[in-house]
Amino acid sequence: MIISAVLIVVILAATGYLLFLGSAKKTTNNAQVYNQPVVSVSPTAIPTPSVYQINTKDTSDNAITNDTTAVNQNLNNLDSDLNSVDQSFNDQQTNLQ
Amino acid sequence: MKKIILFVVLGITLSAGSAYALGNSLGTGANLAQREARVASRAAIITQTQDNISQDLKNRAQAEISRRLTFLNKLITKLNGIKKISSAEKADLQSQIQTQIDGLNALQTKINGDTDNTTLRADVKSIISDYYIFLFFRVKVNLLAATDSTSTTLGNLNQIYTKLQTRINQAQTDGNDVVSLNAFLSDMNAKLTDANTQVTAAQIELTSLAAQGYPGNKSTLEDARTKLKAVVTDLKAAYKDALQIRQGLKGLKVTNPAASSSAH
Repeated sequence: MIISAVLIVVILAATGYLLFLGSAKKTTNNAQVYNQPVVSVSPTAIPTPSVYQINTKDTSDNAITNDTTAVNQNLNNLDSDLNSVDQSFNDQQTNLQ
Repeated sequence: MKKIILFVVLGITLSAGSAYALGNSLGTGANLAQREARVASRAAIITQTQDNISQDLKNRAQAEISRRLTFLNKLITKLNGIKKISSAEKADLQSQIQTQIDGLNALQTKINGDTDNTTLRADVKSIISDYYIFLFFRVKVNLLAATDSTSTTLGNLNQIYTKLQTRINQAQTDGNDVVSLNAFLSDMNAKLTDANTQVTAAQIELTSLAAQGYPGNKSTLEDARTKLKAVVTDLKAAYKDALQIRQGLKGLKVTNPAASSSAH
């Protein structure tokens, strides 16, 4: 009787070991989900520079000098605007492949 | 006694079988464990590689989307500052740009949630396919802003021209020789007239262009740029004429001091 009991214990142990091996196979890899925050760029408020207004009735030397100085500034700004135009034409697509 | 012998024989048989099975299973289990470890290791490497590719794609996509959002928001600010286009056209352009911004934000959210690389690649590819729309708005709004600035400068130079004309006529009345001054004035007038023609043509070209036509309409945008550059060249020449006239007026005799020293 004792031997039978020992045998049963051994068989149960062996069965348990085999079941353990079987369950070890069932390991799965879960892919990690990547989450990045959404970037939202809000418009920046740009202070409006005061615009020089030409007084059409003032034909004095001083007035004309001030007028031409203002136009000189206008022309400098125009160069900057044209540079922006050139840059926008030359924009290159980043390689995303 | 027979029963005992039977149990013993049965016991020996079972234990031998069990021992054999156990030994076998232990040996096979060890091999199996090794094989599983190798498979798991290979799977982990593949997963890691795919994660790295996914991460890299997401990083580049985010940088590109962020760059566009920055540009598009700046364009809206720039667009609001343009005075010489109709409010309807301004609102229409602003709405189209806002649609682009909303689309990019939605795409960013989708890309962040993508878990397989096939979908991710398709989403990233859509950034590229929509690139022309982004580029079109960038070029058009910059051209409109430049057109607006040239119109303002042209207006200012026209007013200076009128003032200089008044002063030259006065100087002539005062008995001064104004032939050379009139030559500068005539050149200034020619330059301003040409500038006006070119900037008007550029405005007309730009108004009719739509994003859907890009890059087919790129040559029209380039033509508008060429016209604007010609306008700026004209305006600079007119400005130089104005400086020459201003300088020339200073050396003339004046019978009416109010004309050169105070407002009329």
